Amino acid sequence: MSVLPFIVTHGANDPAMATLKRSSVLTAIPALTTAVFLIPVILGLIGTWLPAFGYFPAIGLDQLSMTPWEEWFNHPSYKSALLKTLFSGIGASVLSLVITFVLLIGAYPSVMFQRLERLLSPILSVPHAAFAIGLGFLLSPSGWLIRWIEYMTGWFPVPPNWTTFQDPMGVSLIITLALKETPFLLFMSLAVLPSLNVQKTRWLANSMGRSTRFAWYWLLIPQLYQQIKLPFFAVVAFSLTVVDIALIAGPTTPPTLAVLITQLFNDPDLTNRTVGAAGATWLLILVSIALLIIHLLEPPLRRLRQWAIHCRPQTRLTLNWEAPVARALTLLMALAFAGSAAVTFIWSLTLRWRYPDVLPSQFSTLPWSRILNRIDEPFWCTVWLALLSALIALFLVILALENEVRLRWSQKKLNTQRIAWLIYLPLLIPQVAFLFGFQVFLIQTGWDGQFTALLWSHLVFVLPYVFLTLSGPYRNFDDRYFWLALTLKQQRGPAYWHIKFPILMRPILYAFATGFAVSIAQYLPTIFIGAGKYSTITTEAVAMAAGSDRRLMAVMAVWQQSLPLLIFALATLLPALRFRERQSMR
Amino acid sequence: MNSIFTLNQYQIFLNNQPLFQPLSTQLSTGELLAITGASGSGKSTIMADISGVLAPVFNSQGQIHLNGRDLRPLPVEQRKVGILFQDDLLFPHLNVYENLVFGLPGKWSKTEKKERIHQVLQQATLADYQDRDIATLSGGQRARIALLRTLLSEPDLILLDEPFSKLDKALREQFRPWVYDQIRQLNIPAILVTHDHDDIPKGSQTLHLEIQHA
Repeated sequence: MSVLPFIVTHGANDPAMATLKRSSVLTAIPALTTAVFLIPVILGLIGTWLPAFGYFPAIGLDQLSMTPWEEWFNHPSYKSALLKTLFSGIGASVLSLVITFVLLIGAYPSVMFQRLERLLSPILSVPHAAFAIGLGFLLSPSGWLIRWIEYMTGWFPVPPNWTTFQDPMGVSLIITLALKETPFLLFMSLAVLPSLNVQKTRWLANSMGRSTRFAWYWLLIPQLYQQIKLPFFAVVAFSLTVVDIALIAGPTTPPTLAVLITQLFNDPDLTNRTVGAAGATWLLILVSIALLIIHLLEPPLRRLRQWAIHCRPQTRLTLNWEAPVARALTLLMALAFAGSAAVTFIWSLTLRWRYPDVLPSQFSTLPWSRILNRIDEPFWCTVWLALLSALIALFLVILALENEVRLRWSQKKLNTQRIAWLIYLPLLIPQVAFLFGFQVFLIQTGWDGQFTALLWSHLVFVLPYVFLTLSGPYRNFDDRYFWLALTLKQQRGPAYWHIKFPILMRPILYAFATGFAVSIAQYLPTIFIGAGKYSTITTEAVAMAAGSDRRLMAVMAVWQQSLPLLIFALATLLPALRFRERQSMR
Repeated sequence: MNSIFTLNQYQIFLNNQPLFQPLSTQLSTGELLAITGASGSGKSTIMADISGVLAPVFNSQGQIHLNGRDLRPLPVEQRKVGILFQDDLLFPHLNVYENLVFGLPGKWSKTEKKERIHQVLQQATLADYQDRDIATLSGGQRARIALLRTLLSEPDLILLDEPFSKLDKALREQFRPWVYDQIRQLNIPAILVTHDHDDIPKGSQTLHLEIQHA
């Protein structure tokens, strides 16, 4: 047959051809959104690397030198801090990954999991600092757990002489991190698992004489891991470099590397900042090496899978230990979260609570009223930061996702994998590795100590999480609804606001709540970019955790927990109320 | 007025390969053009192109005119082309009344809109269904509401993209004459894509698309 020469071709790349493409304003959005969260990272990295090599004109150092590095590696705490960091960071990430897999093998899919799934979002919304404080109340030698054991057995008339919290090896840090990161990895896995056909794969494997465990180990988990690789990398980077949790639950003398670096950055001796900069850069290198090693473990594991698949199926009976262990782990995790929330709340209403009583002898609202005159400013700063950063992030993310729709309808291909890497970048780079440099940049441009600068620093972390939460549901929206709305209404605005927006209202509000919670949890950005002028509930809570008054600490932690919970509750209730008569919107 | 809708030397290309021979056709008010052909022959792609949402992998050439307007440069919302899919795609967050009122032209007052919707629902024997949640309706009821919604928006041309294929046989036989009756009352041209010859009303133009082999 003949192919006609193109004389007049009307295609999607013809500007006159108007399809579902949106206005050209959108084309600038991805660049703008990327700039919002990457500019501080890039400026910050450069602003940290220069002082690390001795170039820090602000304090009169303008010669490149290796002195900061020498001082860093010769720091008396360096070696011990390095060991503790690697032990706790790698330990916590591997532990949370293993727990996630055991829970899935033992209990997915099941009724228990459906229940657990609903608990995940309130658990994820608990800020790190608040959770660490609560866990301290629970696990410390005179904590609630020992009190209950004493109450039931009489074994501990005086608090035991063990260091069960803030132990020098960082075991309590591992436990805190693993407890906090497992729900995140579970959440990410649950988003992927429906596409992996778990039941059919298990069925198929069983029909070929393979055990369910075999199906998980060699068929399902390798696929699942590929899908949750970036979130797991973020967990590794976070665990190796976290500051607020390490301050509350980590070892003290010496602390972990990230805490040590933060101390150097805040040292009255200004030359120590260059040492801190060298340390921060070293931490970035360490994280990169760790991630590279984890990445390089994949080919040998793949070969192991090849070998396992070629092996003959084993016929001997294997013990199904995963199911009971999964049940026990779930119970433990639920107890840890519920227990730490409960004990925090009780402490916040305590006047006297002597060991070994399981409940205070005198309750009082005094801690609350004592803190009210102190909390006013940090409270509003926290709320405004969280509301504004979540709103701006939501706005930018929706525009970026609308731009994706436009790209789908023009000829350009959309590389979602590349977008994912870009989005994860601020979550993979240690906060200490660039926040100091960003602060230096702000000081030089006279922008330090401004609320807008602080807001920007929060956006760096809020934006990625809002994007990650919203992109899935937004990309899954059936474009035909919008197309149909256009043919019916003959206007773009109403078609969006009356049709697409309400149908997506639940995930949009959920993404907003996530952004809000992420902003509430931020510690380091407020410390560095707030420049002492701004404090939030979180920075106050961490500061108080170093003090000795458990009651004030508890009030702060309760505030910290209740704000994101309140927003999550609203994000669930509003659509439920609005669509209470719409079955398919539930 | 004659020949309200015109396709002239119309052709769709996928990777520079035409999907079918150039086709030219004219439709006047109340006329129906049925397009049949195997899957992959480009039936639904023609519909998408006329509506204004041709997927970027395709190219098309030739004239598309409706009521003297060249549709090519117009975005979806200005083409006045209504569409009915095999899925009813009723908006899940709106009730029956809200779904119908969404497409009603703004020229009517609120009371007029109410009256019109009341009237069409009565004619469709769905008089008491105004406040019903879409999810509680049967497949046949949903299909009727979906057609009413498209017709109420007063399109100049209606596209029917296999509108009966998801209904069971009994329902289909009942629904079909009702659809054509409704469209006839509006006195607009219609294009039907189907692979079931029973769907095609007597006396309408039929176009069979042959898959082209390179």
